[in-house]
Parts: sequence; structure tokens; C-alpha cells
Amino acid sequence: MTEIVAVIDRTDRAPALVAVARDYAGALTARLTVHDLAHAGAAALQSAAASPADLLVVPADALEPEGWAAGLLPDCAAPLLAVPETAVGVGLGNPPRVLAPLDGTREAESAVVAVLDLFSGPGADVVVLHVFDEDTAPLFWDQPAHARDSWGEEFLTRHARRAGSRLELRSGSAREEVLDAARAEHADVIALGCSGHLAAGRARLVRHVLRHADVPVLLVHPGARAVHRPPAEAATR
Amino acid sequence: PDEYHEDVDDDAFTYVMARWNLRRAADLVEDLDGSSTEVMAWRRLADRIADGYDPATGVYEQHRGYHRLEPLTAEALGRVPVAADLLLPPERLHGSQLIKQPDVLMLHHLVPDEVAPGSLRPNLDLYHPRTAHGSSLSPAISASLLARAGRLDEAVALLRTALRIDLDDLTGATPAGLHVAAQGGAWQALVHGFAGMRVRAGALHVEPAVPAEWDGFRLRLRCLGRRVSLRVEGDRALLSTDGPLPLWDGGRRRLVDGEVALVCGEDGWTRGR
Repeated sequence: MTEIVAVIDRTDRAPALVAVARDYAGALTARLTVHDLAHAGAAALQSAAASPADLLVVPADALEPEGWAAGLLPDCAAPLLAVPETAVGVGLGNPPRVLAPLDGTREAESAVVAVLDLFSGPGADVVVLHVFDEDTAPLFWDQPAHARDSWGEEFLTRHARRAGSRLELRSGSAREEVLDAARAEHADVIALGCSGHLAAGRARLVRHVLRHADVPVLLVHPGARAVHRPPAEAATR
Repeated sequence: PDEYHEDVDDDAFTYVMARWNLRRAADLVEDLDGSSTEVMAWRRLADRIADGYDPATGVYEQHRGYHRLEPLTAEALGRVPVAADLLLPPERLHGSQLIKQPDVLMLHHLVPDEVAPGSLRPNLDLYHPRTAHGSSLSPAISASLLARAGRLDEAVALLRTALRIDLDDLTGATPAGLHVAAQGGAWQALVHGFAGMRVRAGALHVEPAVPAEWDGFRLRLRCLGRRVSLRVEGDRALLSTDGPLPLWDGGRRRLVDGEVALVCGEDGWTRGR
């Protein structure tokens, strides 16, 4: 069975985070376990990190460099669902709509794979987002209408082969376009690849999205294990 | 050619090509049927077309008002080539002097005898830094023109880009189809640019330029109904034809056949003596 572990801290925001975790558990037909730092202390965090969970749910601000969950990220084998305080009440749609920014790196690709694994039961409406900036803009863009179609098709083939998703192309600041696209697409969750280090000067996109997103953010380490599927689900893939 | 500025007036490329077409049509009709009132009207119209050329600077203004646009260069966006239309909002792009590919300079490539003599270099100086090469066709044409202007190192760099567009999948979409036009452009860069080969008034003009990093180069093509090969090493060349071929030799038109040695001297490339 899919296992979800939620780690909560302050009592006043615990119910909202647990509600999000329960929503995911219901959508994924998963078992939910809640660890409370206020009662169990650091042992709760260690227990959560060591558990064979398929998804860890934590408050987004706990992943800040000085936050209590910052140490989880580098070594976490499971995807982390970071829940901003502003995401209170944001539930999963049917099917869930996921915004998956892709810059062509392995990290970003791993997030798409994790999303598809995680939502393989209910299915997911995946919107792949690619933002052109001075580092990622193609050298050539011949005839815009044709270039968009052929480039987009090739990009999805190379980086999101399983997605069956649509591609949203934008230009500008990746940090701002990710947030804007999430709102425009009414995304339920944003999936980001993350190497695990959120110290100052690193992972600027991830840190910006964690601070400003209105929906939960799924963080996936490139080495994250695949989601466990019940035998019945595995047999039908 | 420049798709970054489409809704414009008095476009130099359009006017010069219109003029060339009128004159060329007049030539063809006169060759067939002799002159006529209508053909003479074509020529008068062609002579009256204003092309935006400034004799004081040697520069063609790409379109009316181009010189008043923001003087943005391609390098300001970072690496070149770059698809500038993916990085800049349309209003900024259209309001800048950035161009997608050679436009005025395309005239120097397509109809070099229709533009003002000696105008290649001043127009290269102005427009080349403003060329983003956002079209896969652009590097090859620019390479050709840079070679003709004697800027051989820059020409080789852009030729290399043109040749590797599909080999290195520089568009990110080569599986969708090879860029055959860019490959043709690379061929043109070698023939018209580095070999300096052009047909003028029914005779072949040859003016090779060998970059420092090349020992030489060799071409084979068909020209004026003949199989022609050209082998160039430094300031010497060997032209071979499979039959009589009109050739410009130091300003004189001569008929050559078989192998002809050419040398580069004070009068340009001429038959070796």
C-alpha cells in the first residue's frame, strides 16, 4: 500500500497540513501516518525520514535553511510535499492537475517521473512548463508556429516521454513564470526536482516557489525511490 | 528577411529587389522581343525607386525609421546565435535594431551588382552586430558575406555553426527534419563567400579567400553548363572545366578550357603567367 507520512510542528497549523495529507491519502488510496514534533521531538523527524514512506508531507517553511526539516531534503529517498501556509484548503482535483517545470535537467525530469508514479492510480493532468531565458532559449527559432510545434514535441519526447502531457512555453524569469503558470493553469500542486541543498545561493527557483506558491510543492530528489504500488496496480501497468 | 520588423515602410530589401526584378525583366524581354514602350517604362520606374542608401555613410537604412530604433546588439542578450524573439517582449524587439537574419546584407548576397559598390563593409559593420541569427539560415549567409569582406576568422566560425546545425542538433528539433535550406546556405557560403565565385554578364568571376586555419579547399560544381572544379591553396588556385567557359581575368573576359592556373596579385585573381 502507498504510505504517506506527515510531520507536523505547531499545533495551530497542524490541522491544515493534516487535512492536505488526508486529501492526498484519499486520492492515492494511501495509508497516512502523522508524526508530531511537539510531542515526540527530533525522534519524530528521524522516524519519518527512516520510514519507507512513499511521500513525506511537511510545512514548506520548515525546509528553509534554518528550518527543522532542512536536513530531510539532501538524503530523503521519498518525494517531499511541502505545504505553504497559504495552501490551506487547497485540495486535489479529479484528476489532480500538476504543474511540472522542466528545464531539461535530470533533476527536473525526475520530478515528472515521480509525479506520474505518485498519481498513477487516479491519473494526473500534467502540464509541463518550460521557460525560455538567456540560458535555455534555443539558438534558432525559424518559423514560430512550426518551431513551437516541432520543438515542443521533441522536448516532451526527450524529457517527459511518459507524461502524455501538454507543454506550456513561456519566456522570462523562471521563478515568476512558474508561479504565474500555476495560477493560470489552476494547478493543484507544483512538482520540482531538487538536488537537496536549499542553502543561500542554491536552488533559487525551489526556494522562491516554496516561499510564494499558493499550492503544495512536490520536491523530488533525483535519487528518490519510485512510489510503491499495491500488487494489483503493479500488475496492470 | 528580418522577421523582427515586419510592419514597416520603405523597406530597402523590398525596394532593391523590386528594382532588380524590373531591370532583369526588361533585360529578358528585350533579349527576346526587343525594346518597347512598356519595357522602357519599367526601366524608368526602376531608376526612380528610392532605396534608403546614404552615399555619405555607405549604408542602406533597413526601413524607414530604423536608425531611430533602440541600438541593441545581439551580444547584449548573451550568446549568439540566439532566438531573440523568445527572450524579448514583442514591443521591445520591434522597437530595437536587433534583426533576425541578414536583411540589407541579404541584398549583398543575392544581388551584389544591384547595390552600391563598396557598400558591403559599412553595412556589415552596422548590421552584423545587430544580427541575432535567430533563423537557422542566417549563419551561412553571414559567413559568406564576412568571407567576401575579408573577415575570414569570423566567417569560418559562422560557417562551422551552419555546418553543424543538424549534426549537433542546435535547434533542438533535428528529429523533426533536417534543415536542408541551411545546408544549401553553407554550400553558398563556400562557393560565393570563400571561393568568391559569381557569374557576371555571362562569365565566371573567381576571387577565393583562404582562412589562416585552412591549408586550402576544393569545390566541384556546375556553372554555365560546364562541370567546374576549383582547388585553392593560399594565393594560388587551379580552375578546371570540361569545356569552354567564359571567365573574368583581371577585368577582361576570356574563354578558358581545361585547367587554368590562377594567382592572387595586385589586380586580384588572374590567370597565372
